[in-house]
Amino acid sequence: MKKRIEKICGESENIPNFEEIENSPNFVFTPDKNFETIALFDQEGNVVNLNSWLECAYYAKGGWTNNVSDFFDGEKFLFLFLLIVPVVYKFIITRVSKS
Amino acid sequence: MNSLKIRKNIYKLIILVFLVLILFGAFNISETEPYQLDSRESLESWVYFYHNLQCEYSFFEVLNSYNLNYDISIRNEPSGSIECAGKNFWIDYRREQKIEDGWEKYSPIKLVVRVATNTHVDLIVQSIIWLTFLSLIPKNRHSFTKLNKVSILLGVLLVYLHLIGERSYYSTIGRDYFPWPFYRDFDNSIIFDNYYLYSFILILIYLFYFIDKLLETRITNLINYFPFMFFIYGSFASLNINFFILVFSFIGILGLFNNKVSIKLSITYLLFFIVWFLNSENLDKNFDVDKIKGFANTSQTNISLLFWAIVFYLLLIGVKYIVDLSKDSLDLNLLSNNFLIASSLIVITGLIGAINLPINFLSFYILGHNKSGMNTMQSVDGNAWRGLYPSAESIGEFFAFAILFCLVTYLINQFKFKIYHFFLLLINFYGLYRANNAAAIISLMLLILVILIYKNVQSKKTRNLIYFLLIILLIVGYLFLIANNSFQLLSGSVMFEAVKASSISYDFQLNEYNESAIEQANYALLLSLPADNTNFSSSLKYLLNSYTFGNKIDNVPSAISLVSSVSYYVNRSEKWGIFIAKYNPNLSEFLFGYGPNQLTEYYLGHETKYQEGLVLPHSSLITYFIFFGTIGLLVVLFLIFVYVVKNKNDFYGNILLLFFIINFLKSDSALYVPNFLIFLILINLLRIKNIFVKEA
Repeated sequence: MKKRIEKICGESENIPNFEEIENSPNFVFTPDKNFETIALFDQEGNVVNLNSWLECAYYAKGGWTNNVSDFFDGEKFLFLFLLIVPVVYKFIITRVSKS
Repeated sequence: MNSLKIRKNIYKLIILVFLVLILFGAFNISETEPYQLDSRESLESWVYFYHNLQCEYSFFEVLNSYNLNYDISIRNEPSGSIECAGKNFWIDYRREQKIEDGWEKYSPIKLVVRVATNTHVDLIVQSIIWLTFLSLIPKNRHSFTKLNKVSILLGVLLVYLHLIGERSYYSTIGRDYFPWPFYRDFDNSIIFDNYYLYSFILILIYLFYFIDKLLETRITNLINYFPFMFFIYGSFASLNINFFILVFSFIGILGLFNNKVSIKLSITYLLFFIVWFLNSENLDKNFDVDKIKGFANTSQTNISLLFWAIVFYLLLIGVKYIVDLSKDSLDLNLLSNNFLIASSLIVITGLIGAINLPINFLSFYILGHNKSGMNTMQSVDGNAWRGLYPSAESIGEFFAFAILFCLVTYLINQFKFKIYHFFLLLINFYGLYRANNAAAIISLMLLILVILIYKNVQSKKTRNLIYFLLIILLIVGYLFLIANNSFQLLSGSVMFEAVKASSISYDFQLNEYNESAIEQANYALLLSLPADNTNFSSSLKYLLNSYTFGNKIDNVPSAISLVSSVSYYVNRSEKWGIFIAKYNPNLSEFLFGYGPNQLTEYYLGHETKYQEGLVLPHSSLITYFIFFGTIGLLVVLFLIFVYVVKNKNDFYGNILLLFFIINFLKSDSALYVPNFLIFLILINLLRIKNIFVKEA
């Protein structure tokens, strides 16, 4: 998750405590003057403007992003595909040569 | 080749074309109708529409929706995601702009459709394409069984080094780029989810496995088909790597396993490498390698230096190894035939690409050229037409060499000339004419003349006399040319251009003609200015001092004046001037260079007026001087000289070598993978005794 958050929100020395945020229904994110506001969106197209790194990290963890390609992990899909293809190929070849 | 094999090969090619057409969505019908553009007024809306609906349409749909007459071109955009590969990424739109000092004169609208490509997808699809092309090479007569599976692992590790070393390039184009297999999360737990790297490594394993498989049965035949490297260039669209560099590096690894390594070469190279490594500054720069993509370092990191140093070493070993293996399979008739077919294919594909936009883009992708081919039949500035090749100069050199090679093999009775070769030759000549490489044409004509004299004059004394007269004639002709210009202009042309290219920040007083000390070539004054103001490179400072205050012998031009006046007539004053303005080495860099394929420090290390765009020195000799320094270059030149002296009886071999030596003086060709490899292959071929000797 750290990699994804850093990709979206940038690097920070803060170590977020997401559990604490989730368990505090009245948790208020303090705006950070030094943080450049970031707009994130979710898969439904809702947009949110975030004013601190912690707030951004929290939303990024929840699936919000600033890039459409983050909704689909193409590399993961490709990796699995590349693993499966030779197995399937071998299986078919074996069946064909047996028959 | 029997008809079954031919049919099989045709099926392979058809499947390939379908694969590429599917990738680029030729049969794609998008859910949302494309925006049809029929009037100039809607152009902005059309551009805006495709910006908003990124990755929705194939470039075929975008092109079909465009119904205006303004020129439009297609380029790839390497930063696409996997799911976006082959789809519309962006449209560059530049409105009409008033031309400076023009009277109601406007530059035309510029439209470029950017098609998304992706590192992983390109690595898979383009590898499949080029592996299929490799599979078309007939199998060896004898199976080659010395392949070592560890070499696959080493090949993968090598490319992994590349991925780590050129992080500034790959992180720019890949949002998910992360070169390490795991990372630590906020709670310090180790996370293994870097699928960017895992899938990259997995693709490489497959790639090297198939290269290994294909080489096992084809390695000794490869040499007869190398001219096709000019047609199938093999540069991955989104990676800074070339497929044939991988293949030859892999063969180099095989050579290492089979002890085909010169200890002297290895130790010398290692010493050079230590100096390069100690000199190298580990900077996170991103140098745009543009048309030399796949054979130049984009970054300036120690790891990328290590990668390119290893690759260059492996190329030297790989080419030597493959030539040694192929001694018995070498077929000069087949090779000459392939030279003509490859050069004709380049011309024809270039012509088709010039009139058909989709074919232009698809040929760029399928053949892996560094730049999209020209989309016009017109020459650039009425000068040269490069077709689909990235450089007109380099492809012109290839066309001329193909002609020379066929002539040589014909004269030694190794090339059976048939009627269809005549047509192929005509196409080749047309390509050479359009490439407009004067040096290649003139050197070809001169060498043919030398061959004719050699063939027709039996007496060695008379022959040498004619050669001597020919040289005198050339010198007189040259002096006649010089006579039209003042010696002052000629001798200082390179210095003048170098000073002009320098980033000088000094408030000069202008004379009555509005000329500063720069235009007046007042170098004594320029040298007396504070170094911070002139910002001259170390090489320019040295040369200006030598040119202005150096010892002069009456009526004998200095080396600088001589090179400068030659540069004027070969149209290189500006390029070599820019090189001097940029070249700012310390002593060890001057002696040993920056390392193979390292242009970043040379290019970005010293500020000049030419920081943007790739302005190359336009001389392979200078480029390799940058790479290997004075000592490295002297070693190479000495080795070539020793070779020529040793093989002075191999007339035709020396003629072929001479062609490259002449052309490398004023062209950048050695920076292009096929041109570099063909030279390396030729040098190694000439090691084989009597290869270009006339058969009875």
